[in-house]
Amino acid sequence: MSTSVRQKVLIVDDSPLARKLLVQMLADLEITVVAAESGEEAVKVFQEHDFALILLDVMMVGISGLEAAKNIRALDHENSEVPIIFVTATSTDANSVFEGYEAGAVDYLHKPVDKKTLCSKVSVFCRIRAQRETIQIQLEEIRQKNEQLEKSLAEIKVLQGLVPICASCKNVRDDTGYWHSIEQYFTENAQTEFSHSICPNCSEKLYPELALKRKSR
Amino acid sequence: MPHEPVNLNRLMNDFGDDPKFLTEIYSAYLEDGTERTKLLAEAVANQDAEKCSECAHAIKGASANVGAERVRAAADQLERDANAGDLSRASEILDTLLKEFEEVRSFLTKFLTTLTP
Repeated sequence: MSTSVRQKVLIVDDSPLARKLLVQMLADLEITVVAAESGEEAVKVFQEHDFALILLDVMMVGISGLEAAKNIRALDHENSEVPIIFVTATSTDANSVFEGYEAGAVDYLHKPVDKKTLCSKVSVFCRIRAQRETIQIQLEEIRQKNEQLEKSLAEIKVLQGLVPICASCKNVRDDTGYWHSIEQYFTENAQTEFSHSICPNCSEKLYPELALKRKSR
Repeated sequence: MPHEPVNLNRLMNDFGDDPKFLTEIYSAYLEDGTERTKLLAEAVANQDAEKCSECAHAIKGASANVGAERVRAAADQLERDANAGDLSRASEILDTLLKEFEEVRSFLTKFLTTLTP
């Protein structure tokens, strides 16, 4: 995984034994596991972290896993579409499986949970999450670069086409027909400033004695 | 070994190298099971189908996790009956469940002494 951030997984089960077992099974993965003891606690804890996945026991004292899933999906939270895997001890008939998927399950695990299956499923969801985060970061970088480019573009004034210039005095005519000095015209129409100087040819013409002195040195 | 009260492979395959954790899990199961079976017996005595289903479900899940197959099967049957509102066989199934649980207890207690921490 390219990200240095450990993905977080939420385990929800009202049996301490089941929680202990799941936590231990996931111990080899480089993830952070948070455990909740009830559906109510799960909904609360969910809002305090950014989970890549929730493993949710279906039958619990208090609100069931199905209800907890529905409550999480109904939250106005940026992660409320988090993948949820239901963990169930009930040999699932088609109806209850359907109900589970309706409530927002992406998958099922049956008790007794097999360690290898559990770890591969959890890894897949964590990897997908990490990839999504990388894409988000790259998108944000692209967005920022684009913004910079657009800003720079707006600052550049491009001079295009024909510029009418007087053959004698070199004044330039603008779009509205007024004549401007070439310096003024460029300063106004391009992000260009002029610094005044004298080239050697003109210097010789205008100040011949200065030019002579320089040559004799 | 289908005749053992607990399929030890269930947890030994994954945690065989961690006797401390195995001890913790099996002990927790026995402790939790003692409490739950007591509550289940009460629910059956009171003919409380809802409570009966709840307790049986919890016992079923825990038993599945540790590989106590016969306790799991009895709990599963009780839960189904309770969900259907039929407690006519409940005390009979409860007796089986309690008997199986006691077998699991003596089996695991013996097994736990062989685990070197």
